[in-house]
Amino acid sequence: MKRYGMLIDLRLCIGCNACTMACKAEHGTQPEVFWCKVLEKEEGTYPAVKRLFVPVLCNHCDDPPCETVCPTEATYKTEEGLVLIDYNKCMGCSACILACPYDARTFIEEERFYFPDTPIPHGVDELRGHKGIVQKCTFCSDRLKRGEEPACVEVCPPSCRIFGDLNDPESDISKVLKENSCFQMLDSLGTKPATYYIQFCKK
Amino acid sequence: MEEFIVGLRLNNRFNSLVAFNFTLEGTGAAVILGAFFFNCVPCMTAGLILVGLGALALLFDLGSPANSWRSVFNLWESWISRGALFLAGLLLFSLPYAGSAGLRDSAAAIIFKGGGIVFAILIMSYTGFLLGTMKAIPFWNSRMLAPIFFIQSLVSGIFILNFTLSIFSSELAVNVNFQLAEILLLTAGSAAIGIHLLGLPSKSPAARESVKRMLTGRLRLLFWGGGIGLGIILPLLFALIVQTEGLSKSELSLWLPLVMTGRLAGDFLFRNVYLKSGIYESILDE
Repeated sequence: MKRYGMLIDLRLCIGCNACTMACKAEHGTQPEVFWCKVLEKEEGTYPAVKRLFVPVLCNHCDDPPCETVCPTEATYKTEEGLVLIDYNKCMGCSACILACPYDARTFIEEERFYFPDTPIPHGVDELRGHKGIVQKCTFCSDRLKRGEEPACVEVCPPSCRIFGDLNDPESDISKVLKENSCFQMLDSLGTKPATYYIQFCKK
Repeated sequence: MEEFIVGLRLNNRFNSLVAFNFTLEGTGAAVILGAFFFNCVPCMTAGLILVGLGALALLFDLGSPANSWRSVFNLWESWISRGALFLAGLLLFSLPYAGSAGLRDSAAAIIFKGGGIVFAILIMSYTGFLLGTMKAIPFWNSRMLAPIFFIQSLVSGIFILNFTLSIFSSELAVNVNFQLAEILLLTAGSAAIGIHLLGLPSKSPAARESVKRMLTGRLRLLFWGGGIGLGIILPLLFALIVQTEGLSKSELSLWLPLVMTGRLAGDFLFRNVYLKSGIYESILDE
């Protein structure tokens, strides 16, 4: 059985936010909603200051706290390890937002558009009509069904994202995980995230 | 506008409506608990009104209340599902008990009393368990939250019970030492809050920031003035004065409603401050 995961190499991320825009174009997320975003971290003191970029998204955890707290079972885990939301079941209590340590979820109070009456210029309707519910990254589950990679992985200019089957030792992600020292965010909380990071270079 | 910076984040979802729900549901359940003991129907009515208002506050907070009927689907893991079940259980046992004098006088009354008391206790504590299991927010992730919220509900409930009994069943109210119960509970509650807060700074940067925000930061006025001043010191002083020196009936009828209102406001402000102080741990070590 496949177990999808993502590896992000923080040494390569240049903070271009192409992934943020690709995700937005793919799913039609509304203004101020970002399923995938790039956070910044400043390190050092003048004159030796550097700015580091940390792409964050839903970690599609093996033991997702969002699924545990969800009273309506709107949040569910697929056999391939994707943590998804059934918008028709969600009652918008936001307990999942409080349970998620990764700021991966957003509550949608009302429908808003970048342009009148349409989420984005390309007419994506995936999220149309869904308000009063919680949204998050789906690892582009529709693209996966078509045999494609998530939009953020495909678009990344420095190719800092690798996506694949963690249960397949021959997959690219498994090989890179074996060859590099990687970490998972807040793994002490026991969420068992499926998103790994290669640490920044330390001088 | 969201800030795209690695660092600590505030809880911005559980807000005043949720604090209203926590306060009114817990207090109402405590009043119903007392109403079962004293066999006081007006008290039970007051408790049911409070629980109903609390539930309404939560419905207003939901994004899609039309789906709220699904809220009992995850009883195995979700404290919200369990809370919905406890609420249904409380109504199932208390509504018929309040509505039927025949039932209250029958042998079946003991079953309704037993069930109602159990569900009332569960409602008074489940919100503490709900927040206590949120690992993402270290300030809430504590076993102390359930007893703190339980005691808060019990103290508020006792004040309302005392007040309602003094109107509808004054001979019974006179024979019950509510003030001793209040003194003991307020002292225990304060100790529990102290244990919780003292244990936090060593936990994590987010926990330290939460305590700082509450005690000396933006929320200090609400916490010290509202949660502690109105919620603990005022009712404690009142209970101590009544217990040691006693008050005349006219003095009691003047001060009890005022202190009760202050206590309820303090309870709400305390829970509101606890919610507003919730800060998520940073995803990367500083």
